[in-house]
Amino acid sequence: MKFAQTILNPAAKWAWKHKLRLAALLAAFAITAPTALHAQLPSPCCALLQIGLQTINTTIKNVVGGGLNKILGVDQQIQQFEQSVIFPLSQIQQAIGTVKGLQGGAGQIRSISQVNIASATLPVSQQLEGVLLSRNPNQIGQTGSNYTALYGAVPSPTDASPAIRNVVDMNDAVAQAAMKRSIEIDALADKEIQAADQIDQGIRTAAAGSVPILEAQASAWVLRSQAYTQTAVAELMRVRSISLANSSVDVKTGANSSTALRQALQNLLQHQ
Amino acid sequence: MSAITYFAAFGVLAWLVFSLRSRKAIAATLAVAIIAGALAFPPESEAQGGILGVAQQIVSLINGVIGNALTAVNTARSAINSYRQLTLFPQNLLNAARSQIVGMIRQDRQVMGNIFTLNLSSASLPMPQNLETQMRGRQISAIGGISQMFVGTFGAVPALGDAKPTSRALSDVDDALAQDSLKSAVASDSASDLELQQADSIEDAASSSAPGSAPFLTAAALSTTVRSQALMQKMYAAELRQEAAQLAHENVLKKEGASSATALRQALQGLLQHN
Repeated sequence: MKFAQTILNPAAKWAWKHKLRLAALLAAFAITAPTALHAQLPSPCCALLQIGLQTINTTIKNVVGGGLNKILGVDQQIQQFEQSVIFPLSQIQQAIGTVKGLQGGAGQIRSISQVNIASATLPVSQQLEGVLLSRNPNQIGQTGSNYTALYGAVPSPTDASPAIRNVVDMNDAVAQAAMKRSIEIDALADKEIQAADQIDQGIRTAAAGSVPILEAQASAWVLRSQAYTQTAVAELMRVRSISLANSSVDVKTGANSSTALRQALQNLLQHQ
Repeated sequence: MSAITYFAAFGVLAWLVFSLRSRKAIAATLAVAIIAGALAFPPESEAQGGILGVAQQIVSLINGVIGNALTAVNTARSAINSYRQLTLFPQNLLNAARSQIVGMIRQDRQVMGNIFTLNLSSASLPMPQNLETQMRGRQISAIGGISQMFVGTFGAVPALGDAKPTSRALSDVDDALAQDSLKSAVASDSASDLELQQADSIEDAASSSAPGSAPFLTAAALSTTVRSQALMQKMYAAELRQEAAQLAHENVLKKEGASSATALRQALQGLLQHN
């Protein structure tokens, strides 16, 4: 205490003596001191800052938090709707189960499509039948020789008129083409059955979002398959058209033969 | 750093104020120091107003841009939710679709099944009856017996001494392709039964499906359609073989007719020459 008095008393006397100069210096300090210094001192600025931060906090809670909560609520509704109405897991699994159940039937259909139906008993017809039922496009080249071996070749020019030879050649050509087409169609049908099996396999492991992709692929295969069916029908139409034309040829040939016969008989009578 | 510089400068000022004797000199020094200080260390007069201003700007930003954006997002999400629940996937229409399937199953399946399984057999004699039973039996296991029944009904290929080799071959291939088609028809019937079962399964599953699970069934139905088309093509292939054989057979008759006509013409010419 005495020590303090020994220091403070002279200081107070000195300060009193230079009070004007000290006042001037304090005034100068108050005027010129930078803000940073004020901030470190107890200041109304801190209170204002606190109020500002509290306002920001409240605003974030109310505006941002409240807004996000509303969005969360809507999103939860959407999620609930998606999971229970649009993409319910149980029904997706049930659908996949149904697709798996179809697998057995598909396997049976594949076996049925490959069942042996060959029925010919003689070597020549067996050979042709073997090629026709082969379902192998590589054997299409053998159709012509096997066909000729069984049904014979186009008559030579000395054996038939050019008109008859043309008709016979056309008939053979269309019949052979139809037989070749049947091999081609069988082979394509086998490929389609394989494709259907592959698509089924894909469906069994697909997700609800990826299934429409396989659906699109399957639709493309249906379209492709329809095109092949149309081709087969077109081939059938050609065969039937040529058959109809043959009926017409028979009428024409009959008429010509009658005329020739009448003339021959007239000649014969004139000779007698 | 700015505070150290300020206090150093203020120390120099204090030394000058206490060193100088003349009041005028002190006043002049203070005046110069205040002006210099004001210039060197300008008071950040906006500091207090700046904090409040920044806080107000943040609050305005939250209330304005962020608040409006969140409201807009919420509005949009609510609209999407309503659109999905009320327009795209209304529960009542989903249930109506399922009910329609159930109703159609009850209404049509049994009736169509009854129509489809009507007995079409018409043969009256034992052998044709056997063949008819086999070829309409829809049993893949019956295919093996068709040839025997066919021969029993339509006869066998003539024996070696009973017909020309060409005629025998022709008869054999005609019979063979006719039997092939009959067997293919049995196979197709059998496959049709499986396809009908598959269609029933898919329809049953569709009656309890959801919008998200139905595409599985659609895809399965499409792949089954591909398979069905393939079998249809095989039927057409059999039909093509049969029609081609028919045409080829008629053509053989034409070839033989041409040969016979040539032979007849030559015979007549010979006869006329003799006369």
